[in-house]
Amino acid sequence: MMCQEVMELMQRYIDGDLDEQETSLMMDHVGQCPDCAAMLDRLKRLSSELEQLPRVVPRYSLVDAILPELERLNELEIRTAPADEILEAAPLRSRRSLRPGRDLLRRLSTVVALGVVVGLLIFTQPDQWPFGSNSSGTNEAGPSLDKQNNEKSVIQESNTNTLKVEQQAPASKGTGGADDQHADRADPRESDPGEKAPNDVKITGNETMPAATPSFNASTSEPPANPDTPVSNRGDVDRSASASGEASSSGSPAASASEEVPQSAGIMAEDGDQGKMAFGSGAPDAAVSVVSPDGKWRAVTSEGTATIQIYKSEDNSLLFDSAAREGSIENLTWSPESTYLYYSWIDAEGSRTELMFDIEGVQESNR
Amino acid sequence: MVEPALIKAAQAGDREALVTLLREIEHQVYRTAYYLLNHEQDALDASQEALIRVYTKIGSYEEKAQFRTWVQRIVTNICIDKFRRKRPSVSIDEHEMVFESGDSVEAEVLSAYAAEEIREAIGKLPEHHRTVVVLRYLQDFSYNEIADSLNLPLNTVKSYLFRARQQLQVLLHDYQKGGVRG
Repeated sequence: MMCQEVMELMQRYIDGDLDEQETSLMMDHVGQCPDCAAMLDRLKRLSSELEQLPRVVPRYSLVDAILPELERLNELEIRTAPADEILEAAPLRSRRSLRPGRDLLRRLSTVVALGVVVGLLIFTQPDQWPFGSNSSGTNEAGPSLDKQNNEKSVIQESNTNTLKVEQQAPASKGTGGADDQHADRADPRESDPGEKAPNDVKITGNETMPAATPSFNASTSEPPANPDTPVSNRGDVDRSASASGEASSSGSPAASASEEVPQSAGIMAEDGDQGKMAFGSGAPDAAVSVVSPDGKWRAVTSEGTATIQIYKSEDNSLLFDSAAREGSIENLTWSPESTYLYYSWIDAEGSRTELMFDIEGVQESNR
Repeated sequence: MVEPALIKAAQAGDREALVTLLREIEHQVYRTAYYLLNHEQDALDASQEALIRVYTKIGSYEEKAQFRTWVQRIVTNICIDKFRRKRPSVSIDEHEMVFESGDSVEAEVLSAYAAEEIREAIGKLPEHHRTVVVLRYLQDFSYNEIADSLNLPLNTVKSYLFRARQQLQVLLHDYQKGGVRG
């Protein structure tokens, strides 16, 4: 038996956790191993010292000291209803808490759920993909959009989603009114007590409204210049998806911009581009396919590999199959005329190479 | 041991029962806070905070948990929050560097460690190890009770406790031998 194993037995022995057999095993070893015997002695001594640590007591009665505070909590409870919830919300952070991390998690989960829905809609109704429609002046936005930008827009989207949800909350509780909505939307810290005690709602609402409005605006109108910015696109996708499953049939420029499944890290849709992107959601080796604006071509890259295949939509024949390379392909984007495919290759070291493919010349080249 | 009837009455809204209950647990709450924070005033503050939390949260206590593990969970959470805010945890290697000699001549002839030294050594443990040791020795909790209080798997509790004892043993052993490191 190894000394290391005996160490655990000795430790458990100290806590009275050994059965007879284990005890005799340990004792046998300790009898032959002076090191372990010494260790056992030290552990025993340490443990008995620890057991004898003084049972300190406070120098004044803690309960007496907090009685006024308890009294105050009591009064608070009597004055307002529903009482229990107030008590929880006021002095101690409540469950719905104030912790930004948790809030973010809630928002992110909303986004993920939304992404899955959108992905499914696109995937199950391929005939409704709106190819070839034009959106205005968004070409430059496409390829230049980097990952951070996309991530940012996901967060922004999540903000608006959360806000929508929260907006509905007060109405369903029957405490409606515009002020309440503002309060709810503004800042969970401020609004928690308000929600729980209808009497307090008005005050809370007034207090928080000025702060609320700017923050609400910030999340919805941050990039004000371009109507085809990620935020507005996603807003539209969100609405159309939740409306009836006509994920992108409205024909408006914004709605015909691409959708994105937020989970598919590393593969980013290009907002405002004419290309369409779809994801094999759920498949372990999810492929991303982007159809050219004229519908004639389909570029495919698989998640986790850095190859590009271009198929002719007409007969599904393979026009181009890139050499295998390490890394991943991002930002698949078609030119408006469907003559070039632009994309970025991130190699294993993480360095980015901007590539393009010329459909007419059938040639891949650096940009 | 707090009577279940008292807990029930307190949960039912009997304020007097609730205050009586707080009086019964105040010493055990303070003891944990004192050994976790190693600072009297901090311990007094943390214990009061814990008692107020027990007062306000009594409704959420469910009988399937032991009352005392529930109380200890509250106080350890408050203390862990406090000492995380106060000082970053220090690893065992660093302790040895800063371990001060105290009165090393006397220390050599002492047959037992003084409580003060043990308390200091406990204070040098990483937070989880410290918490496990305090619950084991100052609350006489079993492995299972510690696991319930800290919401940790049983094996994790054991490994923290075993490692904590080894670390303490090293810290105190060094101390007793004179313990001067630089």
